[in-house]
Amino acid sequence: MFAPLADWASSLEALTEHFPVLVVVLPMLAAPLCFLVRHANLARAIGGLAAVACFAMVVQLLGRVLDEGVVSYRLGGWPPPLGIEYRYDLINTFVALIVSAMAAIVIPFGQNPRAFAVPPGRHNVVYAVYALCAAGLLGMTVTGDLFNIYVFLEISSLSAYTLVAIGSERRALMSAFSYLTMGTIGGLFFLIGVGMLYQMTGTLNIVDLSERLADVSSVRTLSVAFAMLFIGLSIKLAVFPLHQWLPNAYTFAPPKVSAFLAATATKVAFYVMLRVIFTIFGRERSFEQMNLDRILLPLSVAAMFMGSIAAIYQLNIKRLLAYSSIAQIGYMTLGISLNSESGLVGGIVHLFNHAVMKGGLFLAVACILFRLGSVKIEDMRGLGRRMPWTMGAVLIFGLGLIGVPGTVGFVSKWYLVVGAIERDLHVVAFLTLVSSLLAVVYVWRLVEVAWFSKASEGSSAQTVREAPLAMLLPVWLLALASLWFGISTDHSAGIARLAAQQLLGTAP
Amino acid sequence: MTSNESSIPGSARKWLRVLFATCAVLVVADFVFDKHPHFGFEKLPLFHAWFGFAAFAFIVAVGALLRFVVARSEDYYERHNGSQRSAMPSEDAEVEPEAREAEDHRRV
Amino acid sequence: MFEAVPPGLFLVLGGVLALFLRGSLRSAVLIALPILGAVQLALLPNGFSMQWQPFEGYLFEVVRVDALSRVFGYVFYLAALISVIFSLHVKDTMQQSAGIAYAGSGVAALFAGDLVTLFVWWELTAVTSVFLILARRTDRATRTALRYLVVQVLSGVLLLAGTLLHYGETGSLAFGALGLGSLGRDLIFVAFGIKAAFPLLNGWLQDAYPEATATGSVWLSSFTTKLAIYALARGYAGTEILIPIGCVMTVFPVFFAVIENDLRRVLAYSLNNQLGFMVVGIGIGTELALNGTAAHAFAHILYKSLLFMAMGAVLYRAGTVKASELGGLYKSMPWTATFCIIGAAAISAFPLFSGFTSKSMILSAAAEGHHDVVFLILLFASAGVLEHSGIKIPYFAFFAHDSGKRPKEAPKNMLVAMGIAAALCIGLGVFYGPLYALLPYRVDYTPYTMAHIVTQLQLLVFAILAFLVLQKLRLYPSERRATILGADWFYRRPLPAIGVRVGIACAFVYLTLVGMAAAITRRVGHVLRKLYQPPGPLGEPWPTGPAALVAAILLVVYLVSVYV
Repeated sequence: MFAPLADWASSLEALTEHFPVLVVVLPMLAAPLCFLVRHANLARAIGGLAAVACFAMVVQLLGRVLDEGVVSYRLGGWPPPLGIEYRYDLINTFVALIVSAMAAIVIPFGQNPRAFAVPPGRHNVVYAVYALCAAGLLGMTVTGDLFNIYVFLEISSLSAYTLVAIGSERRALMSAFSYLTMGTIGGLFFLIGVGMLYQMTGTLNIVDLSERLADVSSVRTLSVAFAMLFIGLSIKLAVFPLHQWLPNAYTFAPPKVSAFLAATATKVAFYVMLRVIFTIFGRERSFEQMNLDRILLPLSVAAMFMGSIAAIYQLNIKRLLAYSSIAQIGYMTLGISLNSESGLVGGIVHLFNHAVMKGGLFLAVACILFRLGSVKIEDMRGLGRRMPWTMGAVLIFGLGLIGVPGTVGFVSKWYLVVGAIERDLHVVAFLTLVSSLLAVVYVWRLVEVAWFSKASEGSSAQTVREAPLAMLLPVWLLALASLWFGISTDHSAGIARLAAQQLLGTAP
Repeated sequence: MTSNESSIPGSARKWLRVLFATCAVLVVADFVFDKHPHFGFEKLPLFHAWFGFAAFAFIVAVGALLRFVVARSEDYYERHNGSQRSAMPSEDAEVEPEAREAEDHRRV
Repeated sequence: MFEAVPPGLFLVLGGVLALFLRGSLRSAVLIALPILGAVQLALLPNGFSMQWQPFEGYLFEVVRVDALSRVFGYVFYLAALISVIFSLHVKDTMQQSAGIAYAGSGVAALFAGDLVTLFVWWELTAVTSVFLILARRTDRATRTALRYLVVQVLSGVLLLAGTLLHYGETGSLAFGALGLGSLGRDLIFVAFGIKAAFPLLNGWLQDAYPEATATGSVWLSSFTTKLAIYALARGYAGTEILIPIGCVMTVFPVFFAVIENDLRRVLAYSLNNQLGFMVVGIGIGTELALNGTAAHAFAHILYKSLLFMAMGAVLYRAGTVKASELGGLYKSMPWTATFCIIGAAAISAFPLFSGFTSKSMILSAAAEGHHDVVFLILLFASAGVLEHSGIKIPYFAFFAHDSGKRPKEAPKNMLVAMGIAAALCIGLGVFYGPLYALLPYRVDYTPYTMAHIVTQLQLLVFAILAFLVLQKLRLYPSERRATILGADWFYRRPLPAIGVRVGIACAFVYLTLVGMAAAITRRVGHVLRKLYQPPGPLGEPWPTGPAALVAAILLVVYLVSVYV
């Protein structure tokens, strides 16, 4: 009687062995399936299930990585560097966790039918593209092969352009086009960099590459390759001043798409940047030969200020959040440029924290758009009274953006400021704190409009109801997460610290 | 005081007498009790009394002069704020409930 | 069970809870909260400590109870209770909740054993208290509130920056005696100094307190500045620079108070002057001086809130607290007038009132330390206190020339609150034993010696005589409607004007710094708005062509920077 059960258990165990590849394959299979079923809700169920399954698998893998260190999976059984290897270490498993979690939160919950240009009956296409995008992002994250990263980069980017273009706003198409152009330029730079590395070393496997690069003597080619990779990824990551594609893409995409992209796409680009800087080139080469901090530090600080100030003056809440994202990306790259363990912990943990906050904020905007039909800030007068749960969550996320203690934002800023002080960069620490004051101003604008202004007579803000529970649920899930991880930092900051040590090669 | 103070009402006159009497007692007391002076200047007769008087007069005098330097019209900050909104008098906002409601209506 | 909760947290949570309650249940909860807090404090022994380690390597001491924090803790709870009673009639639920949460964060900050915990509560006092100004719901109050918030948050940011620098230098987060001498500790000093209203950092106080609601300024007068005094006493006792700072604080507000027309602003100046006495005490730093500072803070919170309550009652009933429009109110508000006179006597330090038993300790400490100039300055400032708080406040509000206004007597709850405070003002002046027993160091001091009584009375009575003589000679400046420029002028006027000229000329980094001021000042805001608000050049993404060009330029710049 126990035999079938044991069989089942052993087959599950055998399946566990293949989790590393299933994380990518599952959503990739779900995509055509969603496309074929031609039924919106069925497609949603398929995409949602795939995302949830991915998340569960990544959680299992994270446990393994924490136990074993590195999990390597050889595609088709070919050993690296000949074959392609999926390689899970702490940093990319952590990022994969964020991507799969956001997919599992965004995909299963209903879409606002008005947000898309395609008719509601054809929404299965939307889910197909979501699944494809998730597959591309997860692939980028987990693969151990540089060219493979490029391939997945293009898959995720093309589906991201589609997601932006599919929005019903008139300017969605234009902003998708600009996104596509800049994204392609970034991808091209990246590809050139990869090609140059291949030409120098004859390998594309990341681990192998990092070993062989040590023998490369041509500093000149090496630095061009590094610069190409760095600039290419900076475009993808929207590092100031290469961020010009981002504000419109996030503004005119449907808000749930913005939530998904803001929480995942830039994060994965950030991860690849970490990989290039710390694993392939190594900390010493990147900072001492390439003077990375000399360019990244000023750009990060500029991003913190320019993004926040631009956010203060926006009239549209999605635009405000988009510019705030540019500032927040500045905090993440600041973490890299500080070239210290605490700084890097700050950057990595902010990657997680920002995904939680910005994902939650855009989902809240989805609620607002659904009920109010507008995302203009002036239309939100008095909305705090009509939609207390939605605006309450916005406030929680806003406090996180400021970095108020007790929220996730404080944890990242803590590490960043400590990192800056460790490097004796007191001015940078000071500027980091000052830029938080700017966040106070733009968050305050939302608070003032929502709670301290009266809705104008006859405006729809006087009559709207609170968003439906199904839409509020994911928002509050993330809001509670942003409070929980602000107080209990063992998981977020703890893993980030281990990941940083692994990247820096200082792991105990 | 701009108003005419020359006619002092009876009750105030009584308090004035109490004050003058106290002054007299204190002058006498100054010579009766040992004041345990810490500093040399405290040994001067009636030091605290004339110091109090002089300090008070000095404060008032300087205050009066200060007015020439720092006094501005009441709507000084409103006029110079570059504010498009008109400066609203705010002193009656927190008064009684009715008045507060009226104030609410005036808010933009 | 009591011990598991940091002191003050009750009040913060209770404040949130009270938002959802109505009627007498709400009043009962509000009154119960500070009492409950005081009981909890009584149960916690000195030396009690509660620690928390959220990050590895960072140990936070969330609660630390000792004698110094205890005496401030009790008076904070007392002030919270009095303020709650005083504001029971208020219908606006936000105000009482904000007030009690503000008091709670103030208490919690007192018991913070490390600088990060202190920072958290420090900022929360700022955030909760701003609602007491916003609740006035006028345009002017809203703008004041924003200025107030920015200054208060700035103090918190400086505190955090100083804390981190200090941590980098010493590896310690503990909040004990700090002293000056390193950038980190200097920054913390400035952060405390902002909240303690040091000279030129005091603008926010005179700016904000008179703009708060009638009940709000009672709350405000008790906590923020005294929290700063406590923090200075804890971290910088015996720091000599505090003596001149304190002296300036005691002296310069008295001149402004003479000509100020808004009586609540007069009280704000007077508050600043009283803080000066305490700062001097901290600077002297002997046991007697620190005892004097703690005792004076205790007494001061009570009589200062009593005076703010009296003026709050006048504002509530008469609609204004401008000296030029008041007078003769004693006829219809006799109780308020009586309580106000008691508060005035206490702040002027008449014998048998609380100011006498507390302030004379600081003066004696100055005398024992042979600080002769300091002693004379404090004596001079005492005459100043008498002028603006002892005479000007009650005289122009309730007596002087009759304004013809006959407002009703204050509501019952206000009278009860004022009665309690007045009783304590006299009680502490007569039975000072219990207060002395609470002080952080052993007290060996007798306030009532014949010499003290006679000299103090000479000072006060002859100063009153001076007032009468000046009145008689028509030399006393008449009350006149005017705005008196104070330190707040610096950030209300020239900051915007300079900002426009320099801001355009300098690089964007400078512009962004001025950007902070933009929130405050519409003028600079206008320039930034042109740049950043869509369709301004920085508020709108660029077309793809220039954007791609930027990428290419950046690549070249980077490569060049690698090669050179």
